Amino acid sequence: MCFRIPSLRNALLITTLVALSVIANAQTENLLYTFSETTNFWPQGALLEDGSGNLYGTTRGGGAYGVGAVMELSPPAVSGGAWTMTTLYSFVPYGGTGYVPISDLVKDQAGALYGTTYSGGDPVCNCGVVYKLNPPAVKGGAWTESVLHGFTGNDIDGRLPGATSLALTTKGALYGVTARGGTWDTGVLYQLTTTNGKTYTESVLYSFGDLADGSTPSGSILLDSKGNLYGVTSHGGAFGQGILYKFVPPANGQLGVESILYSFGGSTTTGSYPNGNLVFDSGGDVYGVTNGGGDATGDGVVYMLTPTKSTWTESIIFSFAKSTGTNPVAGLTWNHATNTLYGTTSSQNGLTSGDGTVFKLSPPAVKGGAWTEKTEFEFTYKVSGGYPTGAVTLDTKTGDLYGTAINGGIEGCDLYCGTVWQIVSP
Amino acid sequence: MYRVLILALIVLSTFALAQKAPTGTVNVLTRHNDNAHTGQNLQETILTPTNVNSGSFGKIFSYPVDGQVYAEPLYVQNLTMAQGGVHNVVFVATEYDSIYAFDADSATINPAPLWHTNFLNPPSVAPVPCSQGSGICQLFPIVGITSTPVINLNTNTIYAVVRTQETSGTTVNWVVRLHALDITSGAEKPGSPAVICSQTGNTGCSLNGSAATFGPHHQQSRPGLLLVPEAGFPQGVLVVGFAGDSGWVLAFDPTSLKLLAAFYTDDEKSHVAGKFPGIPGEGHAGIWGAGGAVVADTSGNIYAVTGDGYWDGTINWGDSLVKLVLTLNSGTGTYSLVPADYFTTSDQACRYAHGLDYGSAGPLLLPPQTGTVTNMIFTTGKQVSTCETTFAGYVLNRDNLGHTGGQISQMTLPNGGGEQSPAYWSTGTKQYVYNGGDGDSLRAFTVSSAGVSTSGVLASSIVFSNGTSPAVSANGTTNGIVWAQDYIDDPDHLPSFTPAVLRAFDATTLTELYDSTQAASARDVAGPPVKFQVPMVANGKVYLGTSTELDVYGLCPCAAK
Repeated sequence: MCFRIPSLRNALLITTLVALSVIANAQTENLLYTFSETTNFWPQGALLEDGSGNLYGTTRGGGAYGVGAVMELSPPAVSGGAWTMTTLYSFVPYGGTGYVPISDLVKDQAGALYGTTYSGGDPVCNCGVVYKLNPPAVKGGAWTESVLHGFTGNDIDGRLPGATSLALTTKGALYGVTARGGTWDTGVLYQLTTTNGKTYTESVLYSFGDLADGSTPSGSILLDSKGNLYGVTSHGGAFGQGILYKFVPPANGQLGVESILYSFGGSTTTGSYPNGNLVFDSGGDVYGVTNGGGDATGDGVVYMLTPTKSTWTESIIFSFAKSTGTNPVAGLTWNHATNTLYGTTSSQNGLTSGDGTVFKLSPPAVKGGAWTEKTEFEFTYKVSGGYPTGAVTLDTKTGDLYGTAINGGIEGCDLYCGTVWQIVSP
Repeated sequence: MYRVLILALIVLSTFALAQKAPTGTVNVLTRHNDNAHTGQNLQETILTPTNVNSGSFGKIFSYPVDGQVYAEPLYVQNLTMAQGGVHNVVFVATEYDSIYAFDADSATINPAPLWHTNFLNPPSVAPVPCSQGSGICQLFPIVGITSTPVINLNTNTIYAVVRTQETSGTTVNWVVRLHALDITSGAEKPGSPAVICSQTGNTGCSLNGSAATFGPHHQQSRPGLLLVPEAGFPQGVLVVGFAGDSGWVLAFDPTSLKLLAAFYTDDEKSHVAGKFPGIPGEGHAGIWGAGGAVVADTSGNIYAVTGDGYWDGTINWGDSLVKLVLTLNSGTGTYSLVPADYFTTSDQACRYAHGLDYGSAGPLLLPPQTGTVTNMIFTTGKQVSTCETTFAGYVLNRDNLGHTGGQISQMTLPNGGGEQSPAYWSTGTKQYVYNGGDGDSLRAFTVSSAGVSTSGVLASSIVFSNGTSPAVSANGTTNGIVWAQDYIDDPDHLPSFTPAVLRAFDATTLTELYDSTQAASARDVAGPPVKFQVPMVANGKVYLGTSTELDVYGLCPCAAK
């Protein structure tokens, strides 16, 4: 075996590049909380931050009944101290109130939290609920849950609500999707309306899945200024690998109309199986992630869809590979202050440790140029957690990033119990 | 102590004659169709490789259920129900501690269950969350009934093992019960249920004086229940397997529900000093086996395959296949399950150290052959390069298991095993074992007097990322179809959204005939998947248990939902 000896100049160059690379990837993750099987475990999705720096989220497991909880993480009084985890509500695996929380949380002006569960509710269907958690009248009191809707999975209603957050309007209406149910049993778009914040009426706005339509809606609902709804499905469409859709709600006696803006999977280099939340830029472009596509091994992409007069055009702004982490599922977070996008990759096919990453994408200096990806943090399973499935939460005051890793951390649960992490002002 | 010796044929004949002769074509009364776990229904006259395609075959109806269906659905035809009426009936057990009896032919005519028995009474008798028990949340979120029940048509009884969490005052007890229900009504039979163990905290029960304790907080019953022929027991002996603090095989009198004998695979007290710093909840030689870890031959011998754990060949049986014989202790009139023979993998210590279960996959007893070795067992299990230079399955001699490293041959597996059970079918001239390991094609190995082929002779073009437990339908030696569940989402702990996919293959070529994604408008879409699930075929229909429903496929007219 022989080795090629580089010249001194080349050797120095290589050394310098390696050093820069290390520095570029040397963001420090602060481990805010490591879950165990005796508390709550498997934190999922994005965290919600309030004005005091408290973080709210859900865990799929644990809680008083073992089937999930809503939790609050409070920062330490003194910098460097330990964060405090408080269980606000434990889901109950009987009684029709829903269990196994599945969605991110959204919060209204009064401080109530909204979300969905995968199981519970209707005793025959057992296919999930939309819930509301009302804060206690007195600090430290008990939060109370009310079921806004139990899905029935009949020929009209949906079942198995999706893993992304509900869209909450200023009038208190909620929009969401279910992965199954409806006319074709491949998911619905639904609306919950209220006049008093206590009783809600559900209506199915649209059933996905007919012929070349999208199926299995998989992302959050994005509302534009006109009240139109945008989202993605992870399957269906012209190539069976998902769509971006727009839904114009019914108004003035007109029926609501869904239109397919883009079908994913038209070639091996495009994205496929979109997931997670979408973001708009000021020009009306839509950004998101796909779990697959992009290269032969299907490691996923970050895409931009640009509207033109008659169609939408997909641009791949980053295609993931094993060297950058793979298979993003959570969607993107826009940092308007720095004009950058943040996200997570979920896969074990990632970097050396193989347990997912936090990435940043910076736009090109000149429109049409290449975006720059930077891996902000690489998870190490038994230390910092693994397989983050939630979007990044950005503290707009500090620029700090927060998030969850559903697995990793410490032993106890199958695939370990998960963590909550922070990356300080990357 | 002596073994009750009865000629196997006499026992077999007695037991077989005692069973009611089916009036139609087929009943499916136990997991994978028979105690050998061949997974074959040889009385299928409706479904053929010609008509199983998306043009003429698809999803025809479904029934919602209250929990995940890890157990294989069972089937009894022409059953006269207590409430009146005669139905072909499919029985479904859920992790939410329910058993349903559904009309097997039409959800339109019979949209409600014929009967539905739920064993919970919350809040005092509550479902058991997966956070309670060993291998925390390997199944998610509720772990109630996991093992496939078994039906005795002589007595119209279905047997099931049920876990509950029961609160009285401030005391929480974990309870494992054996239930015997009337299949015509869902009512408990006299003497049912029998409490196997009820304890608080991590304490356990000594079963029939066992040195090891059976801890209901941790023990899970995954292997399908068996009714095994046994002299002196006209209805056979009911055999139940468990994993958790130890593997257990329990034998019951199915009439009285009395525990006859208990065999455990791990007595931790005996080897604490020698235990590897293993993985919590694992390393206890559990009897897991993807729902099919315990099988039995027609002579009443029981074979249980174990996961990683300590091994000493006397009372600790990690990574082994143990042959058990129910033995009458003449002095006391009691019974024991005596380990009469065993096979242990030669890499057992490595498996124990790294948590690699030999017993992650169910064994298959092959029909008698004419070669040097008459009775063979086909087994696979987890394998990784940490312990293996090449990935292999093992063929064992049922009559001489060979002890450590004593396999009679090995077959090469391109990928390391997983959690599945193989199936068997013969064309009359060729015999096949169908095996679906993780990340591998469905592969067929040939069986002959020379043994099992060392590599697959047929392979599907489809790769099953999470493995599969196939079943076979055929009209005797013709019209063979291999049925298999495929899924992408890992349902262990992430609630699934992507539907399970039902696939059908020509059994002689493994060419795909049909899959449930082919029809437009998601016509045949199945519920979200669960692992261990075996498609059950009976009288022209295929029944697939999922995370949320029982899906039924058959000849069209087909309709979404």
